[in-house]
Amino acid sequence: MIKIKILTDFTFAPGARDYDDGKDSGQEFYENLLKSKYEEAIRKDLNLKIDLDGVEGYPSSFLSEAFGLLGNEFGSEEVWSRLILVSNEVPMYIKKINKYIHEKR
Amino acid sequence: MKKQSTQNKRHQAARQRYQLKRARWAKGSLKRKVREEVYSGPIVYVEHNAPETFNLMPENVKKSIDYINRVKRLGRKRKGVDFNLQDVMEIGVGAISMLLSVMAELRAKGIRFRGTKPLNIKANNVLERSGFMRFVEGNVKPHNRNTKNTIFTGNKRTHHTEVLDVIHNSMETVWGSKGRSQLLYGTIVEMIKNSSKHAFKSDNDVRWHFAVSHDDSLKSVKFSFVDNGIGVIGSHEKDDILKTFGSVFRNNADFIEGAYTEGIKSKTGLTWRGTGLPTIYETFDFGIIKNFVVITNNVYCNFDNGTKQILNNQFKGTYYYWEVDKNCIKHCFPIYYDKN
Repeated sequence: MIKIKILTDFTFAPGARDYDDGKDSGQEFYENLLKSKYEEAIRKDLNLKIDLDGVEGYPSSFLSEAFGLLGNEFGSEEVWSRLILVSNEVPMYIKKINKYIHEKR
Repeated sequence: MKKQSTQNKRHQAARQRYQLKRARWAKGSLKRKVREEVYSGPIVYVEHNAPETFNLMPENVKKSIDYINRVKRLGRKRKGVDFNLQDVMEIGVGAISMLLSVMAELRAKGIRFRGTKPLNIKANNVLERSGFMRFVEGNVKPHNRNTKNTIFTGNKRTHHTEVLDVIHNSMETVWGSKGRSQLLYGTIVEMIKNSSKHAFKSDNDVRWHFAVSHDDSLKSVKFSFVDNGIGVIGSHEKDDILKTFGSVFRNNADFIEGAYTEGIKSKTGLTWRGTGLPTIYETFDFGIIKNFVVITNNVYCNFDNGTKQILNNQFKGTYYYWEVDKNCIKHCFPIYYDKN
């Protein structure tokens, strides 16, 4: 299984949507980490586990941009079936990510 | 031919230079100098008395906004403002931060201020402990100096991590130890980004104030976030979204309520955007914050008690108020990292 722990692999304080919003945006997370890890998971035919806990929180625009781009590029059903999301602190984030992955752009 | 006087010659030369300049402006080869906005003329202070109850509770909101608008109008007339708070008997942190946001806008244009503090001891303590005096370089009595209260000012370049201490400290006041609050953080970042991206015409104008007031004895924290931009309704009118969807809502108050509870189409026109306002409301809906109030343009909305009012005087900007106390759902997690 390929793993991403956002707190240790990306940031303790996720930002907003895109580079225009400043550091640690959803776009930056997608382009610098999420996309490459997802591609690695496809190559090795493994699941990608993303641990969302431990950070300060997620503005909805961060999740929308990062997971919206992922679903749009690799296909929403394929992405949803390959991801394992861990969010014990705010379980609602998983429902939101599901929505963002399936949103057509 | 009549000989030209020296004065006339000078006038003709200046006129020729000006005509040449105009021709170059018209051609686009020369850019017009933008008139310096900062006022540096003589200052005439005009005194304005604040209302006796200067807060943003439903029954006082009209009078308080009216006072703030009068201050704003005076500034626009290039007059110094003497804000007289002497007769104020009761003052709220929300009204203080709203006043401060207007003062900051005017100060950037060179307007000067002076003022008188409330004679009422309780009101004066609230004002001194709010952090307001730091912005006006006023004196604070020694017993009001030791406080966790703060008024934080940000602009387009302010990084979202700068509000983290505010969140951690507020968790300490309410729940007894410093901690993270994921949904509260998301809410505040959405407010900052909405203000930075949508509320102002130019990035240089972006300015918001985030005030936090702690009450250790009641284990309660009051928050207010205010920008002096064009307001939620103003920003959507600009992009014709209100004209398109206006018929669905009976009035602006319904529009604002709907924007927060159900969401509205993003200003960008991109269907996957526009998630910010409902995210802010969600934190209230989950019971993590309470007494959630939004004032924007001519609308006052208190989501806690369902009060919606159309104001006859506008606050041109967006104001949020909310509280966290022991009656809220505990949403506080340990801090696992060292941000340094």
